[in-house]
Amino acid sequence: MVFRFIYRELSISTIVSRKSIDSVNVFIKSTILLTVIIASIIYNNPLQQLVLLLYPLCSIILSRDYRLYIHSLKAPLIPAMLVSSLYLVFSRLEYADILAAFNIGLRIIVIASSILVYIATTNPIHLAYLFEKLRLPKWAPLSTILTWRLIPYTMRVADEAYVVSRLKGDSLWRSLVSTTATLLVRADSLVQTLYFYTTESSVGDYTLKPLVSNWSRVNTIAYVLYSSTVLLLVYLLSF
Amino acid sequence: MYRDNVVYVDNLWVRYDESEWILKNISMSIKRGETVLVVGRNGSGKTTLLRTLSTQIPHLYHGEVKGSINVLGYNPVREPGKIVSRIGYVGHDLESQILTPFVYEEVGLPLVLHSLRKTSIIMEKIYKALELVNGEDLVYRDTFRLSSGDTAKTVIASNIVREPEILFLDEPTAFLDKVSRRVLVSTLMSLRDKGVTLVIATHNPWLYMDFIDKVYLIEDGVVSKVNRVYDRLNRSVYSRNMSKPTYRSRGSVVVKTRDAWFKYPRSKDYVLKSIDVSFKDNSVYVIIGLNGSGKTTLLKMLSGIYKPSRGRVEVYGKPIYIPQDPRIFFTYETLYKEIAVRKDRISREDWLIIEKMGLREYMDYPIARLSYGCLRKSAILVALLHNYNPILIDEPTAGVDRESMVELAGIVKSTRKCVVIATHDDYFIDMVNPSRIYWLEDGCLVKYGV
Repeated sequence: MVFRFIYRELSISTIVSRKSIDSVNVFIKSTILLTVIIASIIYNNPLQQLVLLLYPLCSIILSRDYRLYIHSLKAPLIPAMLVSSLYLVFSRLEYADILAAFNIGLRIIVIASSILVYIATTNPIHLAYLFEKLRLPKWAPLSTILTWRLIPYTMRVADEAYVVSRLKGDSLWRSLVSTTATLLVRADSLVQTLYFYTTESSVGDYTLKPLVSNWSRVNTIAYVLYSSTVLLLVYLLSF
Repeated sequence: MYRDNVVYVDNLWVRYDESEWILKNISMSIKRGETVLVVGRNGSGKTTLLRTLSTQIPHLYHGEVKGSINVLGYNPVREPGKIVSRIGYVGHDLESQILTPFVYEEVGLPLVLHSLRKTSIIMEKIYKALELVNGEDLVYRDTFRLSSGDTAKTVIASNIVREPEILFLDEPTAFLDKVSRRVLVSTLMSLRDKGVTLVIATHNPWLYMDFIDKVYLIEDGVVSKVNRVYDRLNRSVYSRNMSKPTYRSRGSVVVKTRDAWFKYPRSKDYVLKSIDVSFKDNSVYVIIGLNGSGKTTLLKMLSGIYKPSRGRVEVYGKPIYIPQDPRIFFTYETLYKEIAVRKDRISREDWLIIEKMGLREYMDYPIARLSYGCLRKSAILVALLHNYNPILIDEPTAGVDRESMVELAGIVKSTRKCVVIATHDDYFIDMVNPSRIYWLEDGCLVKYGV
C-alpha cells in the first residue's frame, strides 16, 4: 500500500497540463528553485522549513491548480517519515534529536514538493530551450523533454504493475520485473519515434524554440516577489 | 525498377541477430500512391517487414538483412539517412510515441528538429496536419489526457506533418473504437488521395477494403500476394455481425456495485456515475463504449484497484485484472513458471487448455520475446488456470489475429468463472456470445441487449 501510495501521488503530481502551467520565466523559476533547495539544506530550524513549505504555493496560486499542492505534499510524506524514524532509531532520543529528525523530514518534504510542483508547472520545451541557450550538450534538451514525459509515465506503469501483481498474489519485488520489462518496451517505442525525427542527414541544426511563448511578465514579477518574501522570512528567522 | 515502384523487394531474408530467419525469400513491389495491406497471424513477421522497409533493421534493431531491397530509390540497409526523412512510421503502441505535453508541440516537434524555425510556418503546417486527421480541436490539448482515438490522430499528424512519401502503419487500429477507426480510415483515404503510399500491417483488413490496391499475406515468414483478402482468409470469420446475446447468467453473484461513482484525483468530473450492476459466476459479460468512456476505470474499480469515490463495490471472489498492455501482467521469466508458481502441478486438463490455446510451444520461451498477441493469450491463460474469479479483461483482442481470437473466444466461453471483458471488437463479442452486454456512455452503464 505504501509503494502504491507513493507511485500514485508521484504520477498525479508530475503531469504537466495546460491548467498547471504557471507562465513564469523558466530561468528565474529554476534559479529560485535552486535557492530554495540550498536554503532548505543550509537551515536546520523546523520553523524555517515550515516557512519554506509556502514556496511551492506560489506556482499553485498562479496556475490555480490547488489539488496539485496537496498531492505534491502527500507524495514525499512516507519517505520523509521513514527517514525521520530511522534517524530517531539511531539517536539518543533527546530533545535535540527529535528536533533534528523533524527537520530532516520537513526538509525532504520541502525539496520534494518544490521539485514536483516545478515539474508539473513547467513546460519541458521551455526548459529545453533554456538549456540550449546555456549551451549545454545537445543531448540535454531532448533528454529533458523525455524525462518530463517518462516520470509520470513510469509511475503509472509501476502503479499498474504493482496492483496487478498484488491481485496475482506476487510480492512487490516481482512487480518491479514487469515494470522494468514494460518500460523497456515503451522506451523502445520512444527511441523508434526519435529515430525518425533525428536520424543523421534528416536532421539539421535545430533549435527547440517554443512555438507558443506563454510566459507572462506579471506572473514572473509576482513569483519573484512572493518567493523573495518567503526566502527573506526564512533568513530573518535564523537570527 | 525504381521509376515504377517506391518499394521493390526481391528474395529478402531478415532475422534478428543469430535467431531463425523471420522473413524468408520475400518478394514484393509497391507503386507510388498505392495502399498495401500486410496481413498474417501474430508472429508471422509483419512488423519485421515494416521495420526492414523503414530502415529500422539493422540500424535501430540489430539484425541481418539479405537480398535485394530498394525504398524510394535507395537501399535502406546502406543509405538509411536518404530514406528516413521521406517516410513516416506509426507503431501499434500509440501512447509511447508521444514525447511532449501538448498536441501542437508534438505535431510540431519533427519540423522543429528538421531545422524549420519560422513559428508561423510551423503553426500553419501543424494546423494543416491536424485538419487532415480531423483533429483541429486538439491543437492545445494535453497529450497525457487524450483518448486513444485522439492519440492516434496526434501520432499520425506528427508523422504526416513532414509530408512523407510513404507512411508505414503497424496495426494502427488496435485500441480504437468504431468511431475512431472510421476517422482513421477516412484520414488514410485522404492521405491516399494526396498521393501518399500507405503500407499497413493489420489484423482487420476489411476496414480498408474500399481503397486497398494490394494485399500481401505473410505465413511463416513467406509472403504471397493475394488479390482480395477474402481469397485466403476465412470469410466466415470476417463477415459476422454482432448479434444480440443470449442471456445465460446462472451462478451466484461475484461482483456487485451499489451506486458507485468514481473520479480521478486532480479532476472535478466523475468518470463513472451511479454504477449499479452485479456480475454472476459462470457467465461472460461484455462492456462496450467509445474510447475514453471509462471502461478501463470500471474494470479497475470492479477488481478493487480503484476504490469508488462514492458508493460501494463488493467482490466475493479473488479478482484478477488483465491490463491493456499484457506485459504488465507477467512477473516471471517464462509462461511455465508463471503458471507453475501457484500450482502444485499442471494437470492434464490444464495442458489441454494450453494446447487448445496454441501456447504449448511457448511455455519455456522467454516472456520478453513473445509477440503481442501471444502475450495476451498467455495472460488470459494464466488467469483461467488459477483460482481467480472474477476475471476482468481489458481489450483482449487488440493486436490479436482472427484465428487466435476464435481460440480465445472458445476458451472464454467454456470457462465456469465470471468473465468481464471491455472490448471494441464486435466480432469477438459475437464469437464469445456473452450473457449480457453493457454500454458505457458518459460514465453511466446501461444494458445493451438481453
